Amino acid sequence: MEQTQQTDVIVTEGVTKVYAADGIPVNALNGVDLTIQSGEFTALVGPSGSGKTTFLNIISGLDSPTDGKVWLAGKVLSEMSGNELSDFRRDHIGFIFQAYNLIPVLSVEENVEYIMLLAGVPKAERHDRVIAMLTSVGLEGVADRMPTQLSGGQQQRVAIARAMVSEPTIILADEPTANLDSKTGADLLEMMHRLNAETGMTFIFSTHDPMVMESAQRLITLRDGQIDSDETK
Amino acid sequence: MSQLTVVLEMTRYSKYIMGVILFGVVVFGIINTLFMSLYERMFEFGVLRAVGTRPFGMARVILFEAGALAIVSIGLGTILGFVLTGVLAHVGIDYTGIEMMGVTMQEFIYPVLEVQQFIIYPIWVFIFTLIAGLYPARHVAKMAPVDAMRRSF
Repeated sequence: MEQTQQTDVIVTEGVTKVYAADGIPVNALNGVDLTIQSGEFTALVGPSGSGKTTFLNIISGLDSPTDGKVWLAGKVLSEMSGNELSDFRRDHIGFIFQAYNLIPVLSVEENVEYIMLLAGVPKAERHDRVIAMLTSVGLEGVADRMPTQLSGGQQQRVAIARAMVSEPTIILADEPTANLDSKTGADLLEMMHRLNAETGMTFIFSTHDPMVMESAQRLITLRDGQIDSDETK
Repeated sequence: MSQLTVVLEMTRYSKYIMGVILFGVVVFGIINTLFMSLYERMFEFGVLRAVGTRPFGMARVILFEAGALAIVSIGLGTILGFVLTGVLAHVGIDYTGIEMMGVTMQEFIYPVLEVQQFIIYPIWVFIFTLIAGLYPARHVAKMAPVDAMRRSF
């Protein structure tokens, strides 16, 4: 494959990942071929150890495959240098982690603006975009607070704001509702659906949460490092 | 008099040896401090790398920290050294009756404050601290974000 189609935001070809656990090779992924198009709201499901998080790490360039290729927004990740990959993640990928992963010593505003700071966005513009993004996720008036002063649901909203503020091509979320109560999780899911519809960003979740599975447009089931089923609703 | 010259020469050499040992201890202390502080925040470093910080950007954080550590240490050390030497220069150190290389000290020794010591040594400490910071800085720059985030769980 030389080039992805314009709407193919992620293409994987024969992606394999082998870990050495105590010297014994363990296949986390076994030749995964997958195409995800722009604007999709996709859930990756499967039992623990099926390879969901490994797959997310590989398609985001956080980890490298043992074999196979990944095209993200038309670029082959394995052909990029360390700096190119960092810049690519900064410009094209927004991350939402299970444990929020906000930087505890930075305020909410500093956490959200950090990626724009790396991209060299002027201070005044950063501030305006942070405030607009926080408003969009329902967090007015908390810009100066520290993450520890917020509830779990609020911290996850900040994490969503951080992921989306630089308008990336794709949002990758690893079990985003796992640490939240069902009402907060439902609210966040509804919000992400709204942002997906408004911005056209591609959302990919790994999840065990039936509520997330229910709301996804496409459901990809992984089992033993392979795609077991792929349903589009 | 020639014996006194030998004693002074010996003192000069032992000062150099002590200096090398002290600088060695300081360098290992700094590397240890920076690594401890790095491992405590491994997860945060992983997140910063994940969201797009370049490898050199991470290394720069560690080098800035090493520089800050050096500046604070130099400031405190200089003040402490100035006060202690100033006091001892006034009251003296009692070496009377102590024999060294066949020479018996008869009087108090009074240390002398030299401005040079407060310029040359701090510059060396600053340079050595930055050099010591290169190893942890390289370590953090080479770290894969996914490993950094996994290691801290």
